[in-house]
Amino acid sequence: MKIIIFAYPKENHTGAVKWALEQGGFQVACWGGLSWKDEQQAALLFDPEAELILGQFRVEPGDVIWIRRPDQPTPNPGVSDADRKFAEMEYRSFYHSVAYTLETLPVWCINKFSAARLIHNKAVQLRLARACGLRIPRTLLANSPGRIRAFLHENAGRTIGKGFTPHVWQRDDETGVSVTETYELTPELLPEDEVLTYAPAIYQEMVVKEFDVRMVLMGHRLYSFALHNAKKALDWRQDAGLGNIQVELIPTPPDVEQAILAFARKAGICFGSADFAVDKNGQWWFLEINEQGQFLWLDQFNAQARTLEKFCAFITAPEGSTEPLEKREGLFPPFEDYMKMYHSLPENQEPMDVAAAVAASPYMSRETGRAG
Amino acid sequence: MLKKKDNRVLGRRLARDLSTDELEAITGGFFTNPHGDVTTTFCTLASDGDDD
Repeated sequence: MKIIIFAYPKENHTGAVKWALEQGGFQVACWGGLSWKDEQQAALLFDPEAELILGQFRVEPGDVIWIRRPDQPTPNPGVSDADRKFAEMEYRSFYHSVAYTLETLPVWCINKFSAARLIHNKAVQLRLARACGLRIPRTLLANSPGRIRAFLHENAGRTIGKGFTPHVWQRDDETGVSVTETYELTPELLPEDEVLTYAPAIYQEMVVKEFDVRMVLMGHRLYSFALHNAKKALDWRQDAGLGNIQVELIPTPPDVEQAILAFARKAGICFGSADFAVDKNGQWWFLEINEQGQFLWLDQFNAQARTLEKFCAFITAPEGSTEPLEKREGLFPPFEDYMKMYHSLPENQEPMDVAAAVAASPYMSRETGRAG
Repeated sequence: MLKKKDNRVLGRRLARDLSTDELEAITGGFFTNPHGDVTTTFCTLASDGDDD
């Protein structure tokens, strides 16, 4: 049995997990996603049984496939301009063939591609969460100015707005960046109707929270962490990035645990990171889930979290195992050991090139037209 | 002179500005950063795999 990670070896979680698994004696292979390059090519043969080759290795019965963050399917840049769109579509179709076929092979996918695509949708998340008994805030997804204004008018409490996807703008003056985050919205802050049609957004009744919770789902196990932010920021993520939060392992209320496990069954996922807001009455409100959300940062804020060891125990256990992960987490080194190794490598001393990132990423833009 | 029309999306108007120092703090220590896709974007330029 080997673990195949769909991501580049240097992807932040992949690097740590691969290292920890190898320290524990497991074989790990990385595949960055479908591309024209040798190491990212693929072949799917039916003769008559299916045989799948990804880069330099073969997918075999019993393998575990962690579909972490593969690159977008990428055709050879040398293709004729007239054929580029065709080639892009063919690459995409082939990648889908590979990813969906995995679900039919005797391997364990974390998560199944079909489930990941379904649960990526925030509207689907809210529907399933509600159906499973979780509390959800009143929410509107819209680009219709009239509906948006009515939603704010009808909301008894405060309202927040947020995007469907994160985005970063490098500022014109190069003094930094602007990052999307959850914002409070009042009728006075609403711009003219035309602006509300520039990009759809998510509008939601604000949960006045005592603290946030990041919950990590690993099979039948849930780990909940209270995030205490001294600034009481509406969106804790930037502050966490700056080290301004405290992470505390807390028990998950039994009704929430039952509900999120039911949610996972309905969604078809076995792994993900969910966000909750906890109000002054101790009620947990489901906000969203990212089926490949970040979790290793919890270990750096709180060494007792041990999510690296737990995740390694999770993906090396049999699919569907109910054995406590804590029984096997000792097979793997802690995150702090990985960080020591990571920081000792010369290539990790280089500062990030933001301009290059902006040029290459679909989630980053160069800002223009800030005035106004 | 006519004022330039502000055609920015709402999310950018209400985005959080990070200074160069804050940016360096985040990108320089990306393991501390729990951003989902933004972290990945900063650090590896990989997508989230949702290509539709």
